[in-house]
Amino acid sequence: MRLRLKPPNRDLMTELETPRFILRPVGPLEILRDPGDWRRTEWIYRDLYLQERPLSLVGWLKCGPFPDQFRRFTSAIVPRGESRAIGYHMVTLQRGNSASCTAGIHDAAWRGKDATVEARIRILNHYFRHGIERFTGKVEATNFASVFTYRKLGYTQVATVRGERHRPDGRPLDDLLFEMRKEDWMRGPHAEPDR
Amino acid sequence: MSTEILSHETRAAALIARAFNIQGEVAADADMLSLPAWDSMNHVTLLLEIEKELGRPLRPEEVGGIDSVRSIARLFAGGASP
Repeated sequence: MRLRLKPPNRDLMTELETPRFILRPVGPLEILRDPGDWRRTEWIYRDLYLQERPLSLVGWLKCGPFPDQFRRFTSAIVPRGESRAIGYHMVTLQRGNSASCTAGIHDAAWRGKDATVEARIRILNHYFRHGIERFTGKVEATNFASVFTYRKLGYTQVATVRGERHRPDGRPLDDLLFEMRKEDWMRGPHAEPDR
Repeated sequence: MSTEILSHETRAAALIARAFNIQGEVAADADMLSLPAWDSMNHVTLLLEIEKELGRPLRPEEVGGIDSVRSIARLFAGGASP
C-alpha cells in the first residue's frame, strides 16, 4: 500500500457506467477493509496473487488493489440497482503513457459472466480518451480466465516469459505478455465513439 | 483451401460446439466475439478439450492464441507432438 501526497487525478477518478454495472471509484480505506474478502477468496489469492493460502494482513497491505488516486486507480464493480461490489478493477499508470490493469471478481455468482470484460471495455475507452496510448498485461499462463479476458478484448500476445516468477513452493511460472495499443483499440469492435 | 485445412476447421468447430454445448453447427469463421457462449468458464472447458484432443498440455504461447475456430484448426494442423 503506497500513499502519495499528490493531488488526485480527478479525470481518471470519474464514475463510469456499463450496461450492467456502475464502476465506482474507491479510496484506499475501502480496500483496507477488504469488503470482498479477497484475502480469503481462493481463486483470487491463488490466481491473482499466486499464493497457496489466504493472504495475511501484511500480505494484503503489500499487494492488495490499493489506489493512490494519482497513478493507481481502483473502481468497485457494482451491479446497477445494487450497492455491494462484486469485484474490483485497478489501473496502474506507467511510463510512456502506458498503463496496466488488474481485476478480480469475488462474488461467485458473477464468475464466468464476463463482468471483467464489460468493465474493462469501458475503462479502456475512458483511459485512451485521457492520454493513455498503450495498455499492457502480464498474466500467468494457466490463469485461463485472465487470458480469456485479454483475448476477448483483442489484446495482442507479444511475448512469453518463462520462469521469471516462481510459486511459493519454488516451481517456475510462465507468463504471457499482452499489449493493446490505442490505434488498434480504436479500430476494433469495442471502441466507443468520441463524446 | 486444402482439404486438410478444411478438415482441421471442421474438427475445431465440432470441438467448440461440444465444449459449449451448442446444438447445431459452428461456422468456420466463428470466434470469441461472434459466439455468445464463449465466456470465461466455457473458455477453460474449451482449453481442456483441446488438450484432450491433442493428447498433450498446451504450451503457454498456444494458450494465449486461442480465440477462434481457425486458431484451433492451426493448432491441430501443427500436430500433436510438443
